[in-house]
Amino acid sequence: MMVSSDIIPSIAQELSHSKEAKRAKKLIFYVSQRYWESDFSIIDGYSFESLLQNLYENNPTLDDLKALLFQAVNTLNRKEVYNKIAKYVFQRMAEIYNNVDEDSMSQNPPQGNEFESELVARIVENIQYHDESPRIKKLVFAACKQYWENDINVIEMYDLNEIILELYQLYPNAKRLRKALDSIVATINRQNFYSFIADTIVGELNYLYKHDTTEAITDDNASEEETKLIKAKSQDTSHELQEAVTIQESEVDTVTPSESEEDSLVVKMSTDIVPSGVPEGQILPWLKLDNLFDLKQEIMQYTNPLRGKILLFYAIYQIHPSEQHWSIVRTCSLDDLLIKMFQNHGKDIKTIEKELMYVANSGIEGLEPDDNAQTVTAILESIKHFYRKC
Amino acid sequence: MEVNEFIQRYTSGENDFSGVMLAGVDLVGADLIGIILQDSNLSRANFTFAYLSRANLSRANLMESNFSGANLNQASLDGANLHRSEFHGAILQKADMRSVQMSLANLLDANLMEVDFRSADLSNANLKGACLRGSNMRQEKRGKPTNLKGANLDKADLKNVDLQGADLTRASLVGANLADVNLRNANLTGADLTGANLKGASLTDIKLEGAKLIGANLSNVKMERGNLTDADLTMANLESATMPDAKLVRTNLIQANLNFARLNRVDLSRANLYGAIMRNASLMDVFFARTNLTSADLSDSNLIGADLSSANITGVNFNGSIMPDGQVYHK
Repeated sequence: MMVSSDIIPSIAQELSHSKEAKRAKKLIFYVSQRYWESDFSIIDGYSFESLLQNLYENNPTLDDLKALLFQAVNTLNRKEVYNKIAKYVFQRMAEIYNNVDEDSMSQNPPQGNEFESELVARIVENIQYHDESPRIKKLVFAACKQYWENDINVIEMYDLNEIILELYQLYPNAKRLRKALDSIVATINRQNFYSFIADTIVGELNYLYKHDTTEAITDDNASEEETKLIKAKSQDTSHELQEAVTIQESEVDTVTPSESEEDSLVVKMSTDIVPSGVPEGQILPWLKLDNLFDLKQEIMQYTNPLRGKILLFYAIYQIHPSEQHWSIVRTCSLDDLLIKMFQNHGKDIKTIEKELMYVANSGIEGLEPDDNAQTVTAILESIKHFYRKC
Repeated sequence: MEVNEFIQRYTSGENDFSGVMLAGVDLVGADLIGIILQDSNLSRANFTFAYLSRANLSRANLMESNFSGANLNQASLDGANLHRSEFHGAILQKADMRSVQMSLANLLDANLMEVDFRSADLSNANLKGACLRGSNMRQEKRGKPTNLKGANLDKADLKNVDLQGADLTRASLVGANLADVNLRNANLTGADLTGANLKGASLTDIKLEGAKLIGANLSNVKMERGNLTDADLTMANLESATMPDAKLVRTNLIQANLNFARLNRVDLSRANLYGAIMRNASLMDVFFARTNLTSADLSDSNLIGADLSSANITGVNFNGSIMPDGQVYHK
């Protein structure tokens, strides 16, 4: 194996002899000096080796390096060429970081939580096969890396296992994760739909939180700390955003502004994060989960379960049917929808009725309003029974 | 037969379309109540929100067909091939699903009440949140057991279901409702029953080797001769469980509740009962070989004939219990 100290000269050697030596140097200069220099004579005053060394010293982890490289490429023109260079640099530099990792590993053996990694693998699988996988990844990524990455290709370069573990370490309980996700969702377009994505993420991470028995004990008096965490985070994000904007402005090579995707960031990002009024508790005090089985049975007995889910989904997340096809309900469960509804409205049957009726008549593709009305009636009757038992 | 011809003949009153070949047909929302489609080929057909109550689809090829939100109340699907089919939120109440091939099918949140699933193959199917109350999955004499290997039954409602002899190897039943279920002689090796409710279930001769039952409710279960070797029952509730002659070798029972449980002649060798509560438990002739009983509460239990010679009994509360030699323990 190559010794760490030999790796940088070897990368420098390779790059300086490559076809794209000039672009490689431009890119390395850009990421190590953190600005785009258009005058190549200035860049040429530096050696590859010193730039790479600087890059290594300023990025304590491989993840930092990865983020920096691919963020930078993203601001540039001729992405394919620069992406290839970035990939090469990343792969070669990884050798140094891995060497260091091995050194530190031998000192403190890995904590070896087999159970945890098994759960993470399961969560990752669930996310990978989810119909809304790209959006989930974007939101998870934002909560983890504290900036919004719109390019799914950049996110895909990261190991989702690691991202999930990082997220779990960053937010030690479901409450904190919830708050962090809510504050991100509050800053993006399609908030209603993203609040569903946030619910999905919390639902998945709950596999981890549930098995963590220490949570219950530390949970109660953590609110102040949480607020601080979120404040710090929102400052972070706005700072990063400004940085990103300045990079883009000073970018000479830029031709096409990055396409304004539907999910793109609203520019007012994180200036006015309002704490959301949604109740945090997983289960409401009056809500008995055992009875939820009876409620579900009654709904299924008296109406079409799929139609019920569709109406509940649009009503709870207040998404217009023209915005999102109902096939999305395949990714959530009737249980979760019912619990979410009780979290939103408690025992306020009038509001529940109003919202469900509104959705029933909103022209959902392929669903007759008359059939929808039958479903709403059945759901309301079942809920009334349920309230009596609680 | 062409689709148009089929619809024309059906709307003009014809009902029997046995053996028809209509693979990939689109019948979204169609009213096909009582139609006879036995032995037909309808693979990849789309029946989303279709009305098929009392329809006869026996032995039909329905591979990868889509029945999302369809109403199949009292329909006959026995012997049909439903591999990878979609029944998301569908109604199958009282349907005949005997011997169906349904591996990898999606039955998320489906109404499966009173369905006859005997000898069905539901291996690796998704039954998350489905309601199966009153359904029949019982293994008949010389019949094939219902195959639920690797199936996902998280939060499914199986209250009162007859699952005698069913194969649930490595199935996931997290948070499922299994109250009063019949799981006699069923195979749940490696299954995940974390947080499941099994209150009052019949679990005689059940195989739960290596299964996860963390925080599960097993109060009042009958589990004679159950095999729980290497199972994880951390913080499980086993109050008043009857489980003589069960095998609990290396079983994890940390902080489990075993008050009033009947564990006569149980093999607890190398099991971990750290901090378990076993007040008034019947522990006659129990084999505690190298069992960890640290900080367990065995007060008022009956230990006549039990072998405690190699158990770790640091900090155990034996107050008022009848010790192996018949003497009552007093502080």
